[in-house]
Amino acid sequence: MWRYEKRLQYPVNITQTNPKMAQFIISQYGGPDGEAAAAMRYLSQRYAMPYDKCKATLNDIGTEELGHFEIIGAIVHQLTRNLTPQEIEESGFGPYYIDHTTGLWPQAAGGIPFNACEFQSKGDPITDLFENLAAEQKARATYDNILRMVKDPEVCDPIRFLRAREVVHFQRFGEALRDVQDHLNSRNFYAFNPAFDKPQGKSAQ
Amino acid sequence: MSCGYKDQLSMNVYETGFALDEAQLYLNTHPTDQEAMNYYQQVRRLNQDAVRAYEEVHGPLMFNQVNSNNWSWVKGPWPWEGGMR
Repeated sequence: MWRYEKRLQYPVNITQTNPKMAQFIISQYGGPDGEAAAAMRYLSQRYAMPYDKCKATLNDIGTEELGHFEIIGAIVHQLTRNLTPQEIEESGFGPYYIDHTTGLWPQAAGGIPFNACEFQSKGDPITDLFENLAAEQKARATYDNILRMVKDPEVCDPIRFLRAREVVHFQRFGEALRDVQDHLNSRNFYAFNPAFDKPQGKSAQ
Repeated sequence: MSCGYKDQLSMNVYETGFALDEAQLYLNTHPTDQEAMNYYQQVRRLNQDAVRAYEEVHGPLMFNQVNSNNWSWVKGPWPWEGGMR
């Protein structure tokens, strides 16, 4: 279960609104490589993972991603406070505003709604961990794209924090993958799915 | 690094909380690393002290730290509003 800690993982204090940047950054709220997809991906993959260190890694990185989802929400919210109709129209924020006013809704930068098809939970440890390594790199690349657009240091600062976390998570998932491979012996260096097939007997678990 | 901290009390909670997050993920894949365990024990104590000092001034970080007769949990600003910065 989860209980709320009444703070962000990293502070967000944005004093200048910028609805155009909000529309870019919202992609990390509900886009293809965003934080919602990350949290759902890892927390869903936990159940089929047979090895304890990897269960802990999926559980705790998935939990941290929920905190990142909240940080992105805070950034978008603070970038869209107290907008005038004129600012909305001139910034290109109009299409989002028409459907959601300035409420938060998970979508990609291009308006595509959040969708579970953005991630996989395959029930196969090596497949899932490779998915996760790719996901962390895709999110890091998205943050790089955002950082090329954003000039405001109050926005760049938490985005840089989130980008750095993608790099750390990539490292931890690499270690988790190594742990899975250490559990596979020469009779199954990935001929079988260790979460489902049991060809190696108890010693292989 | 950040421009966003409200005061020293909040900065201490953020820094020690982040150290704990890092120690947790590292220890998950290195559970027998004694040096990392020592680091965890050290930052755990620092975080407990930082949280206690913060809550005395700014109110509870977790709802079950409300220990008075009024329900201070609902008092803003909430984190996404730039509350604890």
